[in-house]
Amino acid sequence: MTTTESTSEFTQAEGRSHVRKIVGIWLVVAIIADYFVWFVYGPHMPPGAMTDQARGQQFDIKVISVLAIPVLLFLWTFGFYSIAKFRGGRDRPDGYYVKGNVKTQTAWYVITATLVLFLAGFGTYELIVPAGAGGGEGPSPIWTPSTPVKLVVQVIAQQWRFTYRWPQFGGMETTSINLPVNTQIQFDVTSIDVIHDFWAYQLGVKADANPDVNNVAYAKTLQLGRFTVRCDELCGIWHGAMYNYGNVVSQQQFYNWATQMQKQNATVTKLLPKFALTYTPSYTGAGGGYYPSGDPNGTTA
Amino acid sequence: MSNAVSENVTVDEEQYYHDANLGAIWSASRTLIAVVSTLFGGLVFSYFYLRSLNSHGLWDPNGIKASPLLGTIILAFIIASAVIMQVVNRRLRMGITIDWQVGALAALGLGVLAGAFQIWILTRLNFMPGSSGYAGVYVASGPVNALVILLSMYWLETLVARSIRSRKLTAQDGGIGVSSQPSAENFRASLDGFTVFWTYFAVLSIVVWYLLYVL
Amino acid sequence: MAIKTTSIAQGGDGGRAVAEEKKGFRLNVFTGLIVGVLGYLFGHWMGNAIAGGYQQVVGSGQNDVAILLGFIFGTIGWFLGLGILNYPIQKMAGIEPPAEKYEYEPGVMKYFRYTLDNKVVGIQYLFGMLFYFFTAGLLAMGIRTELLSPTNHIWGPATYLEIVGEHGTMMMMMMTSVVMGPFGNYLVPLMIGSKRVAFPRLEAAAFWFTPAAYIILLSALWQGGFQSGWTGYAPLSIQQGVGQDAYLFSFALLGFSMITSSINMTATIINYRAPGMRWSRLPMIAWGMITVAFTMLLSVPILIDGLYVMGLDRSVQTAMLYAGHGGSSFLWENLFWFFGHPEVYLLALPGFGLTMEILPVFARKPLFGYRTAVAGMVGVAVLSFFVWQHHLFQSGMNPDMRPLFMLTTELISIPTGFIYLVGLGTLWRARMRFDVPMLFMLAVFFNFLFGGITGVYVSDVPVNVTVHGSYFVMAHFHYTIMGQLIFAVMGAIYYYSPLYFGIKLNEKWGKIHFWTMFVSFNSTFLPLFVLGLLGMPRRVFEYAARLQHLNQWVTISSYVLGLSLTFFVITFVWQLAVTRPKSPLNPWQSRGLEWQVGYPIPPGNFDKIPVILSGPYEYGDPNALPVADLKPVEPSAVGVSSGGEI
Repeated sequence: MTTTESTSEFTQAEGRSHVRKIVGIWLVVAIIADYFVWFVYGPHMPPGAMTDQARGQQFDIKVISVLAIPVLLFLWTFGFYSIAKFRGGRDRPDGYYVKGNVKTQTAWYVITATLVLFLAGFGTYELIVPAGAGGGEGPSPIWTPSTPVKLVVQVIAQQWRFTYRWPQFGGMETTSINLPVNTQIQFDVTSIDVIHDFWAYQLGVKADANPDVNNVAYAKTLQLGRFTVRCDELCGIWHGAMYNYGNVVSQQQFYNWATQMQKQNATVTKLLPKFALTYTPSYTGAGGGYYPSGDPNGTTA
Repeated sequence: MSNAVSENVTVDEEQYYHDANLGAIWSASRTLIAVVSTLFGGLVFSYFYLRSLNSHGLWDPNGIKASPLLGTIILAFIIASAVIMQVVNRRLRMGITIDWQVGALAALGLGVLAGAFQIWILTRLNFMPGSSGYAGVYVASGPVNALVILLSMYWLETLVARSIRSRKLTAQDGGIGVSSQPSAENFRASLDGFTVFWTYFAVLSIVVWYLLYVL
Repeated sequence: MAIKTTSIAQGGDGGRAVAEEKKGFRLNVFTGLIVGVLGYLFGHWMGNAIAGGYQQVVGSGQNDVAILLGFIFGTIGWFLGLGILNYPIQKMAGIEPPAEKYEYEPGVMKYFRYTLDNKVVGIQYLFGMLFYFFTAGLLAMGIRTELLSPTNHIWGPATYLEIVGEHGTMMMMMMTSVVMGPFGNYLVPLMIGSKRVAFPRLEAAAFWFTPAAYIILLSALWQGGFQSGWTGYAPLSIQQGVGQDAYLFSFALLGFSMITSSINMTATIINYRAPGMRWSRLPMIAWGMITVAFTMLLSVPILIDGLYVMGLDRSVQTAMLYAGHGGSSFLWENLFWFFGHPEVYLLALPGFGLTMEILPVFARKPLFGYRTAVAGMVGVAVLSFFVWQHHLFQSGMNPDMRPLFMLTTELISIPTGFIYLVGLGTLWRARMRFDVPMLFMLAVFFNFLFGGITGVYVSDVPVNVTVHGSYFVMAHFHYTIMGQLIFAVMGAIYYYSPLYFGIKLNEKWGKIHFWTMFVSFNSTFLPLFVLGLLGMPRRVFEYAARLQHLNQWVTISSYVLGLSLTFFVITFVWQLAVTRPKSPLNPWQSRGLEWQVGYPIPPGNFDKIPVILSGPYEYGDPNALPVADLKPVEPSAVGVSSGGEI
């Protein structure tokens, strides 16, 4: 919709001059900001580049930032410019009588829709290609890594600790975690009581640990170093204390550690329930001990 | 002049708010349908969700259902009640108030019985509430069903009581079903709202009955 | 003082209205409390009689059946004691009470009773909501105090989580009504030119649910609380003590409040618009209210289902949320978030309604792109039903749905963007006046921008892997809710106190309040984005030592925020109760219809049904007609149905 110039003080020329100033300021600020985001902060953005998945997430954060910051800055420039220039007062007449502008509105719809659709497409690509981007994909993952999985680690969460079982090492269970570098790893995350969440921050892996559900996530290690494991889903009073640390080590070191642990734990491993994708929590008192242990209908073992 | 005009406007306002009130009853009875649909929608979702997950094979391992006989009786009562309401509403519009009153009382009785049976079923289930997914969903939907039925019957009861009480008031101009008095129009708006709601609920009940007792 | 009486003629059997009330003793909040307590005791006794012998009750000494029945009968007692059930009971005898009278009643006792005047209900809501907000805010101070140090603890971990849960639940459930209650109920009839609301009893009952919900929710604290947060994920919530029953029951009560309130709101806006109040002239607050009301009507019943399922699992031992017996913990997550995400928008939409209502007044310009604004609100409301699984991206359910939910979630930024377009367009070549309400409205746009832009990060599944469940998400939704909704509400309080109370709050104090709140709010929540990106999960009482400085910064800022809000409370109450600085009529020179009725607003809102002549935002047009003819001499309403063309 166009309007008549209700008062001579609101001329088209003056309007164009405002637009030029706003766009000019915005362009300068946005280019500088994007430069800093991409080149200066970008390489240090979380969660780092310890795995393929973490690196993908870091790249995503960078791309979204580079697109989002100009949007933020445009709105700021426009807003602060307006606050500085378009001031009135009790004794001054009202503002420019305009109720809409077809060109501006259309441009806005088109630009926002394009941005949003691009981001959705980009996000989907970045989700599928790095095998689920490190997120838990449930019991039957649909985005699997292109290279074969070399190591399977089962993460068992319980109130309030994580333990790890290693099917390739006799099904042993450890309380600490070490991973080999340059290896495609599959995490099978499950819980034996309430919902927890396995968050290995530097690995870019996050998967809810649900009782009776095997939640699979993938990561390919790329760098040596230490990583943090935290519970990221509220799981009761000691949720805040449910964390430990792990290391990505060389493949030889890992092999040595794992075989040694297997030997050391051999007697305990025999007492554990057979390795399975999930473990029935009935026997562990989940649900507040409400339900009698075992199956009420006697149909499953 | 001012006197006459203000007189006029007052009358207009009465009519205006009367019309708005009839509209509001229409809107509210339809939004009520939306609310009840969503309420049952959550339970139906639970039904399908747990059925499709079938955790530990325990959705309904032994195929035990709550008494299909009683379930079918409840459904039959609800449908009969809704059908009776449809029929007697027509009689009411012809000005035969007494038929409507008898019919509505019968519909009310059937509805109350349906609600009572629904509660009774819950006291004689042949399974424990935690024995399977189906058991849980059944135990959950029973009380909701009974509550919605009984609250609907409350609505119908107020209508019946109102028609009886305003019997004398509307006697001159053909009874509450045709009277042009505002109170009669208001009554009919409420009755329409109820009938639409109750008919819808009968259809919804068929779906719920099929899921809980047949499928 | 002379008592003005306006009898509102109202179809039906002479209208639905309070029976002529006897002067002298009337039921009020105290009788409500007494009967409520008696009801609770009865319910508790009954629960013990029924379930006292159950195996799990004997084994654990915890009788959830008794607690829940206590709550149910307590609430019924509360309603009986307040007199809310008188009318429904009378109806069973076919009695339709005589025409309701809206009379001016001096004194404050009317605020402690069940009353039918939309303006009294609005004030009840206003003070109720502020009270609930400050209670929950105090709990937030408790959370931040604990987080001053990663190693020294003020609270035990259990108490800490109780506080977190209470804060979250109180805010999320109560603040759903922070606009519809005080502003919707009060202003919508005034704005659409109606003397009444469609269902005054539903409206009033909706308010009286809230004190019951508040008391029950807080009662959890002395029953061991609930450590499952406001999200109450099963099986943790099944494992909890009886505090969880208080959580689920109070949340459900608030659900009923939202439904009753919404039924009234939709029926009022659809049917009670004055002649000439076309949909294209409907003020933005009314648009906000009707979109929110529909969103509530379609989402809240699902929440009630979810809470009910949780209650059954806890009390009668069904196992719907427990996979070991054929249920699934995912069921709760789905039911809860199917409500939980529309809920986030039903907090945001009314805030936008308020903002777009107030912005043109101080920009002295018409609202830019009225249809775009409406499309934005409707679009957000509709899309909000299709995004709930984005809370569950890492949960392990249905990975194939993730691209779809990522798309729908990001699509929602298009209608949200509409609202920014409207904001920017309205500021374009305006003649802005920087009174306190305007400052708050500008801050709404500033703050929500952070919330909106970080929303794009959160909705991107790969980024979500890092930020899900972290302080990043927490900062994100505090920006959208507190930074947007609460700022809008604060601005609206400044804006509407001349209309509500006849006082104009001190500009200087208002500016002190605004600037301290604005700066400390941003200083509190901006660092939380960083904390989240650095790996701090939500709801922890211990965190990495390297994050201590940032946390201390946040805690101290939050104290300043708390002080700023305290300053507001003190100055507000002081000016309201003691100094009462008199306001001129319509001090902001607003065109809104609500400002044209004068102060005090007549008990029936208008002497005559007004005839709406033009839109409410025609600033800057010297030829614009006044918004309405308040004293139509011609019988212009003849044969015109509500909202009809004029």
